[in-house]
Amino acid sequence: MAGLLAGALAGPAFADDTVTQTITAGGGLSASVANFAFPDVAYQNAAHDVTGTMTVTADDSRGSSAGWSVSIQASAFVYTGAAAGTNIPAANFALTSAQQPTMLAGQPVSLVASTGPQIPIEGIVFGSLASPLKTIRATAAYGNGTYSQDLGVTLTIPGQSKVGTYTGTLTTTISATP
Amino acid sequence: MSLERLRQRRGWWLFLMPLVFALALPGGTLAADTKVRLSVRPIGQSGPYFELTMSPGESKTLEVDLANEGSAAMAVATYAADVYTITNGGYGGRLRGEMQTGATIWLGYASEVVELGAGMSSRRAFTVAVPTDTVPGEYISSVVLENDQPVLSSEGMSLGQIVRTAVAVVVTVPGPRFPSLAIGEASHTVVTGRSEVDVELDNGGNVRLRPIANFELFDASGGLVSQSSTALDTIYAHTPTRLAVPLAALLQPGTYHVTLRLADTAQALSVERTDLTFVVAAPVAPGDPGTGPVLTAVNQAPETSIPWPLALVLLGVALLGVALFGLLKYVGRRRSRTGS
Repeated sequence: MAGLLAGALAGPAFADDTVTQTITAGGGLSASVANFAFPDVAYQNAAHDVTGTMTVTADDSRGSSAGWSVSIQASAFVYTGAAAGTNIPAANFALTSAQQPTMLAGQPVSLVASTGPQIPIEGIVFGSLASPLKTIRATAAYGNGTYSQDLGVTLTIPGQSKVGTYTGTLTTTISATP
Repeated sequence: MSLERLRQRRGWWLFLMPLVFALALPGGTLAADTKVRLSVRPIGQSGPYFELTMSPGESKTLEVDLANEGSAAMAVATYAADVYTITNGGYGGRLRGEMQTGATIWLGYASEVVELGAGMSSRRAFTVAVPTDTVPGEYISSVVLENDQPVLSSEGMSLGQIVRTAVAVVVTVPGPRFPSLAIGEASHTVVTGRSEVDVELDNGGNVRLRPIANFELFDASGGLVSQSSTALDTIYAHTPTRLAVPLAALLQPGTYHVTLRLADTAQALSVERTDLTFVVAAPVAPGDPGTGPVLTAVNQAPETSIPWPLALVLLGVALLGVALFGLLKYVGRRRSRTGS
């Protein structure tokens, strides 16, 4: 079975007194965003930015040391209200900064090239979240644990956006891929 | 002034105006108690994803465990998703409901929404069938599991969240391997106040690549402005992507030249372009009115007559002069009569 880690904790070498402990496959691979909040904003004639910080948490409990990567992507912010407003395009929601991850449990963070977890060694790309952007990655043999990463984001609200509610969807993807 | 007096004197509309004009992007957080923890586990594989070698016309049955490791039961959606290469390489998976093409349609994996209890998993079998006319090379698709409905936090939250877990299904059809990587055009964008140089790439070969990109940026006079060496993530076979090189500052207006060399030693591939060029335009100054609309020309000589306000003033001055002349003449006569 993939991800199976079998370990034997053998007791002292007494006959008929062997104790075996098997560690089976653990959990899975998951990532999500928490601690994200937009401040309240009032109507404005000119376009303006709303900034915030979101925290990505990635967890690899497979025990397979296979590595992983996390990307985030946003949809348009869909308007609901009585003022005949229009949606805010997904391109207006942008990733503007990324901190190196911190370990919550498991393997330590190593920022040496080809280890990790860390912001992508191929260079993190900032900008519009209309397309997925990779924020954190662990190469093979690293990333067994739970890690968090703070990301700076900005939503540009077009000028004269109507009073109402704008709802977007953030898709966080953690993948086990070559 | 009390609120009651304000209401009486100005009316309810004035009293309510501040509330009406509060654009509703209210604060809120994604609640921790709704954390989604889903996983997809490939069964019978030695690695973290499916990696198969199959011949044209061959079919296999695979199994996958779909698990809800969270603390609450939830409806989950699972589907097969096309794989593409995101910027600077790496996995990109099409979203639910988007078109399925290529190797994804080889998977007999129907999209489905199921209820998964907390801590429960469901094993699912699916087939991979390689069409008989498939040419050698690597092909990739993926199996995705996600929460069916976006997780919203407290009342008024403006950002829902879909949490996805994806596992690749890689199929290698034996035969000749043709590594190939084409370098397209370069362009310049401004991201968060800094310059970013983008170069289009296209893996037109039949194997995935992980090249190292050596990037050099020169100004119009040939001076080296910036350089970097970056190990890109996977660029999947048959997919385009782009190299993005974020710079530490905003480039000055002008023409720039790029030299880009990409090498994947594992695939014995090396390509380069030394003729890439882009232009950074001068920023438009704030308040610059621009060229404005093109107006229709008027073939007419400028007006030379005296404007009427000026004519009135001149007439007034003339009348005043005549009156003054008459007055002086009258005074002169009176003096001469008195003297005689």
